[in-house]
Amino acid sequence: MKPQAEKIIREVLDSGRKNLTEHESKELLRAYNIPVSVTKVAKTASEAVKIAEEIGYPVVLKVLSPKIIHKSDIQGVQVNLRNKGEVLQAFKRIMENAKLKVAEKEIWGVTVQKYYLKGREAIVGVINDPQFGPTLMFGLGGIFVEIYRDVSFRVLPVTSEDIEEMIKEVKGYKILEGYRGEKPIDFSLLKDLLFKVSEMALNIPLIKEMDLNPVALYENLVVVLDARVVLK
Amino acid sequence: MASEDAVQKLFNPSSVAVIGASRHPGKVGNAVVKNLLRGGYKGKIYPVNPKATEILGLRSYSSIKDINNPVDLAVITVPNKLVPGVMEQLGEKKVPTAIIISAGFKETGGKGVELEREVVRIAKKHGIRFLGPNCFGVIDTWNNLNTTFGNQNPYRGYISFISQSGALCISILNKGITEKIGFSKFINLGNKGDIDEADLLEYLNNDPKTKVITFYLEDVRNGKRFMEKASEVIKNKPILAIKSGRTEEGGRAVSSHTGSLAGLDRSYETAFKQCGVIRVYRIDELFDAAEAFATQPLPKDDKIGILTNGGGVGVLLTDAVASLGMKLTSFEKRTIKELNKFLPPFASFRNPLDVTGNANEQIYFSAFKTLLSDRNISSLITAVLPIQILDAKKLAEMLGKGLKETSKTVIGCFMGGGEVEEIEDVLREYGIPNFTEPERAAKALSTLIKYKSLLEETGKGKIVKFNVNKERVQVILKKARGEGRTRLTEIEAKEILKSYGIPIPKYKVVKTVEQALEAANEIGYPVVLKIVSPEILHKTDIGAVKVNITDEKELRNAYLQIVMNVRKYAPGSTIKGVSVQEMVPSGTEVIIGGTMDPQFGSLVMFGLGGIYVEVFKDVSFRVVPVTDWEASKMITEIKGYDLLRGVRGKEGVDIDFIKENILRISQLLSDFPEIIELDVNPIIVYPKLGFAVDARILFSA
Repeated sequence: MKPQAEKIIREVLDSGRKNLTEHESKELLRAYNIPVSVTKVAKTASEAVKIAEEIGYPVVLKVLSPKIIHKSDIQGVQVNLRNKGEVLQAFKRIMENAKLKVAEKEIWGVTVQKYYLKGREAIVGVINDPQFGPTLMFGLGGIFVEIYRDVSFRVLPVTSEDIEEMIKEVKGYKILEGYRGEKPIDFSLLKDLLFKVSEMALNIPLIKEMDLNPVALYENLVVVLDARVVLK
Repeated sequence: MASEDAVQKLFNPSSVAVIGASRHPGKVGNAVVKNLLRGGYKGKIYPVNPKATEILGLRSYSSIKDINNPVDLAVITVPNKLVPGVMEQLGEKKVPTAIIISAGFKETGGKGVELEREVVRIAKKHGIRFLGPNCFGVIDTWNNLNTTFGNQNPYRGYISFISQSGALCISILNKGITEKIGFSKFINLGNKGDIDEADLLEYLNNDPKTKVITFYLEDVRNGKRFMEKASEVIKNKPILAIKSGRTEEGGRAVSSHTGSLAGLDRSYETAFKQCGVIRVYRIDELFDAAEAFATQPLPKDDKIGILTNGGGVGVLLTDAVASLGMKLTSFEKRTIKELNKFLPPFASFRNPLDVTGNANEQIYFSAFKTLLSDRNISSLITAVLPIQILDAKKLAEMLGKGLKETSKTVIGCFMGGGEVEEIEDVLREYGIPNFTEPERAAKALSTLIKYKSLLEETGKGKIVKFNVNKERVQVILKKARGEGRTRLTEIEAKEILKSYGIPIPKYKVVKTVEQALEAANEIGYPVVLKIVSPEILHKTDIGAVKVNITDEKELRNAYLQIVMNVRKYAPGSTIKGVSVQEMVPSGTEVIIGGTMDPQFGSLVMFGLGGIYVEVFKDVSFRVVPVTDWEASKMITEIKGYDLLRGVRGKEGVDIDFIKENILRISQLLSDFPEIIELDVNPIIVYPKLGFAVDARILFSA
């Protein structure tokens, strides 16, 4: 295991947790050179503004709490914040919403990250199957996975041919190829990401499951916008 | 004679003439006479052959005219060219009904088509109803009538089989004999020159010896009539159909989403569903289900019990039942108490009940009786594995006798090889259908349950008539027709929708930038600009649509860009102006469409809009006009329904609004059958109400 990864995992386990926060999950991914949107933690509204100004507007604010897994469900995510005023307001709103659901001491603050224009999205996941070990999942995000269950699976390890098949196997593949005049996404970056995720899952046997959702897919960029990792 | 009575003569004629009867074995005309004799037909048989005086011991006539008595049915086996002349003679002799076995008609194309037309014309002239041409004939086991040239008689039973293919008829006949399937009527449609599926449905509906109607179809002759008759029949007996040619017909030129999604097979799938015909996809499934229908009562509901003497089969049955959408019920307490009295403690007392390999036929039978008296169970699959301590044949006898005490559905699954045949003979005697594979047993039962739920749905829903402005639509179509067009502009199409009460965003068609500015001020920013041209179908693709225009400056730019793009990418198209439209808020996009099917008429389609309709083909169809009940089902049966209902904290959309618009479009399509393709795509739906944002209509000139 990479030393950086070991450090993150030890800290999480030492604090008696199994669920990594979004920030920790992304740091873990970063340790394996998986492209993630830069995410910084702000404990106060003014810290959030400071970070936003560093990484540049527009930004996204998300609640940071080990107790909150589905952040959108509690209105804990505010997107496309274009200036200081909007960031301040969003911070306030997120805190209010979060306090309705969890104890104040469980709310660590917010994460601030760059806002990416809405484009095509994928979901990449790993589950550790009791019989077959770590298994990689790929699908298009949002309604594709939620409603149509349009996903593909492979037991790890995988070859680059396996990864290619996984991508082509989903029905939503047509959308990645470019649809109605749209350009195709960068498939080599996507394959690279899937490969690195599988390497990581094999390298850290402690991972019970992980979700990279969404992974934003563009013509020349692939980046993980949100992630969560659960340990055994 | 009423034409229904003439159809009836196919099955119970009091006399049959065989035109083209032959003395020579191997000839069709010989085989038909032989089959009539061998089948034990009780009526008069008149062989007709100009060269013979006696055929197979019967007096032969040189012409039909020489027969002094009336003839109810003529079976024609002469070469194709002689058929028109024979039909004329039948007319003179006042023969009401004919079976034309002779081939060489429509199926050969060219001259054959003309010859068939000639035969139809003569038959019409004389009022003769006929089956075929190019057909295998008819068997009615209850009337001992076999007019075919096949080589065997099927077992007598309650399944009627109608096949479009003659060759399939022959193979089913043989398979049916091997598997001892009991048939009532056996009919080959051939070219359907006159008598078709609908005529036969009408007849079989009133036939007490037919409990289930099975079809092999390649097409239907008159879609609407078929649906009408089938809807009537299924109130009395089930109809099961295999329809071949499921793969997409290639090369059909369609320009709308709806058209491309409809396909030829989709219309059959839709029509069958709508009139209650149960479609099956395999020949074994067809007759498995038919046997269950012919022998067993319909289950009260979908609560199923499984009884087995082996765990593995229990699990297989459980999987099969679940994958077919049926439920394993839980036992009543008193059932478990009762079972405890005679089953070993290590048996499983849950559904599926496994009496284990320690059970002999007595114990198995006790369990069978106990489960059948459980009020939670409406039907029972009873699986028996061949083991030493259990006398399966004796058990079969016991189960058969036990059936007398129940009105519940029992499906047998006695498994194993050779000796099962003997056991099946016993089961058949008591009317227990048996399947040696668990999946087949579960499938047959699921078809019974499906029919039961179809019966409950028949008659639900009504056709809603809205107050609409039909005249306005007539005016728009007339004007476009006058201009030699078959395609409407978006604006014309939307005006039609508006006339039928479907809400559209505010708009104004303008010719200059200044007018556009004025219109935008009136409507209020933000606005959308779109080209108005009947030739430009995909406006977005050539940059002839600009959305979210928020001020005057953007409007001027957008206007210029649209005009330039159209000049560049669609030169020479007729420009009727530019429309300035209210930019409605984004919401959930759905599509409602219409397409014209050659067999069934207009179909209405519903699905999620945008990429979902194209990638997942997640759409539903109905033949119009649809009832409010069917419109609701169209919405709930797509996979994306969860999205419309609202998932994971997201608010759902106005389902009633969608339903009402499906009904309005259904009304539009049935009022105007000249509309051959229609796409309302997208309709943006909100939690309350919505708008038809874009529309295309293609009509026939």
